[in-house]
Amino acid sequence: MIRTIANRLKWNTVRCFTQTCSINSDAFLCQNATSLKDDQLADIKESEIKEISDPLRFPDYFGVRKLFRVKDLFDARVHYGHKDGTLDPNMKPYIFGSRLGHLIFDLDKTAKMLQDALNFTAHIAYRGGIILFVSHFPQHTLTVENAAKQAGEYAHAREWDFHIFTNSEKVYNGVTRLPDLVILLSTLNPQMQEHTAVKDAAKMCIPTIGIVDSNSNPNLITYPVPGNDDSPAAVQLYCNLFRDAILLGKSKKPVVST
Amino acid sequence: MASSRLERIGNIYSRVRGLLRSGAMKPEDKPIWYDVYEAFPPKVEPQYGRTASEITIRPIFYPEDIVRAKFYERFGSPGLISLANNEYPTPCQKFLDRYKEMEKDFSDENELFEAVVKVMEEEKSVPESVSSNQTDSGTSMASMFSSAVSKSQTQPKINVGDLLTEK
Repeated sequence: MIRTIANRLKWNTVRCFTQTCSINSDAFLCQNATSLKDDQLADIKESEIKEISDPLRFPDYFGVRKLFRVKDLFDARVHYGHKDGTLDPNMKPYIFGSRLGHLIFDLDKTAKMLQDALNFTAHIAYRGGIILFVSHFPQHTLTVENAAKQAGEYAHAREWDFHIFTNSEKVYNGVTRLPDLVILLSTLNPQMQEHTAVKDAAKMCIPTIGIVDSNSNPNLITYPVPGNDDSPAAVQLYCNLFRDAILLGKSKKPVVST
Repeated sequence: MASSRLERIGNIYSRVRGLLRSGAMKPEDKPIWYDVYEAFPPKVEPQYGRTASEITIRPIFYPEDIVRAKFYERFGSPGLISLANNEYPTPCQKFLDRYKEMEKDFSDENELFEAVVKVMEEEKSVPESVSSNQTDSGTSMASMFSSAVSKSQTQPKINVGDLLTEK
């Protein structure tokens, strides 16, 4: 039994060993983390293995931080905000400055928040949660739906019908499992009002990840990511990143779950 | 499932935590995000009535903006500039690069500016005036097209038949 778990651990969490030496009391193992052998691993007690194989103990279990660099965000035009006058006061901490009347996002802050959001997404995918991509802009419908399809998850990129979350049993004529995570590629609808999904997800206790532009309100979003939500290049980048995070989370799933 | 739909009170985590503590929600009904949220809470707690601290948005300016302003005052806008294309620098950027190169040799800003204009005019890499026509600065649509065509012509042509035959 221990041998099988050890084998699994060997090719699955070798990387994690290097990160979390504090968890393991065996200093020798930590030093030679990359060159572990079966008999060395078998010495670890079963309870310790359970502790180590808990992904929540690792800051970046799925390696989502390696998915992008700040330069990628810059190239995808994530740093462009709207004009000065449309700024939502709650977005002020994430703004780098104003270049001739146009707001520019602080990409260092965006990168950190995007990493948190990707990590959360990967964990939800790992735990078998349903993830829903939401966008209301017709020009991004295809991008968003393709990303959801490639990730094996769900998308709602059309006009939002009220009561989808709040009265789902009547809308779908039966008990409905609501998504476990909603990813909003834009928290506004084309009428520049807050998307209904933001409020309804909060009502139904569903966590949300939202790309918040300089004219959006980040307060109700669980994991807001400040950035440009209008450029096709930026939306494509977000879609790719969230798709990859979901796939990373799912790829670990059958190996560790016992 | 018992839960409050008042999204303005607390946040999703605090509401679910309250339900779990009071026993209204059984531990086996705990949402799957709950543990993840606990392990990786967001940097700023979501709260409907939260207000950001008073921060003044600073304007972004660079020292070379003065030279840029002078350049555009003298020569105007060169027409269309593709922001997505980083292959060709804009006339203004070329001017600035030359300006930085020659900065050491001059003490007076105006003299330096005029000297750079003179050099650039000799190279024909700045527009002659505001109403000037297109120049061969590499930024006009026609020159970009011709350079792309010449690039494609210089590449060796591949004959599919040659590839398929075994040699």
